[in-house]
Amino acid sequence: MKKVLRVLGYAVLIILLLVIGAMTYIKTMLPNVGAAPDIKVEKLQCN
Amino acid sequence: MQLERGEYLANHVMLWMDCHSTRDWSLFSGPMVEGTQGKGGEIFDQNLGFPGKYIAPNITPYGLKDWTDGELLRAITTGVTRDGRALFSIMPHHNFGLLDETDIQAVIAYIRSLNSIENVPEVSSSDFPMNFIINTIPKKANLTKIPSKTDLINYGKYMITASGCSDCHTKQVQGKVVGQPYAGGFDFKLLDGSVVTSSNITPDKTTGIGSWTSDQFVNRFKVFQDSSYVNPKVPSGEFQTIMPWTMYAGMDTVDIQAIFAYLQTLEPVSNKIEKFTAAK
Ligand code: HEC
Repeated sequence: MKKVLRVLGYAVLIILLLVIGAMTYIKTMLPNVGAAPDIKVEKLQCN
Repeated sequence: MQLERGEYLANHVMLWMDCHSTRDWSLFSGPMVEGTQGKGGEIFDQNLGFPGKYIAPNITPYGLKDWTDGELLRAITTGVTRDGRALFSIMPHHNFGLLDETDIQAVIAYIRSLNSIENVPEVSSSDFPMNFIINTIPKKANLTKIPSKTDLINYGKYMITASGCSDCHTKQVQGKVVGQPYAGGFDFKLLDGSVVTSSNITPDKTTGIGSWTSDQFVNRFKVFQDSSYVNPKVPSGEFQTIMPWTMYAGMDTVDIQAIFAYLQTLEPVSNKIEKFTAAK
């Protein structure tokens, strides 16, 4: 009985850590679409 | 050339001016209030069924003075702002990321030429869980080349992507697509509590536009372009729509015909729509 509880406790802890990890990843690393391109839009193209 | 193309796309196709200007909802189809082009401040919030409070930013030079052209291109085509924030998909970056870079550059040139308006709208925010989900939405752009007009169906597909018809004509709930593409059924709550529902524009003969001719389709838009047309006043509780008829009316006839031709190639979906439910 005790052992079951302990295992369950660990399982919950691990899941919690995974969820927190995923949330931190999503909040801090995403969105990631790369750097903005280095372009210049011509302002006076009247041809 | 480029500026003209940009003006055309921004006002009549991509409808940037639809969301980023002040609209007069006392008149039919909510025309834009003159002199507010690009000023921002229109609110899309929980009352309208959005998973947060989204406010259209100022896209006149005043609002974009710190942005480089590259940062704008990235924001428009991937949905990531200059400071790395994810934009909610009311801003249809998922569509714009499929277009031709020359078209995007044309619109950038156009908004750079707008009259600067001093206005600092509040910054958008998402409720839980959208505040997490939103960061997973932006994707790298997948830019293409605009098909030739002789390739009518593909050209129509390009134009319908640019004009974002599917964003309203495909049913969504809380920012998630739940309906068949173009089969309508997306409910929009109006300020007075009435609900307008987008039409089924798949080629189903009875519930969609399968029995329409191309000319009928074109005319449905072009009546609003007639120079004698004035948007009538809409009393509370009477038929009002968010379908931006008057802005799309300025679309070139060939472009509307191409969109129609493309729509007719879709799988017909039977989905009967009640267009309007007046507030109780
Ligand atoms: C902002 C949301 C929105 C966008 C964008 C939008 N529509 Fe609509 N549309 C609606 C709504 C709501 C209705 C139903 C009310 C009405 O008829 O005005 C409608 C109605 C229509 C109808 C009338 C169908 C009928 O049975 O009378 C057609 C045709 C149509 N839309 C085509 C289009 C096309 C083509 C595009 C893209 C160029 C488009 N719509 C973009 C919201 C939208």
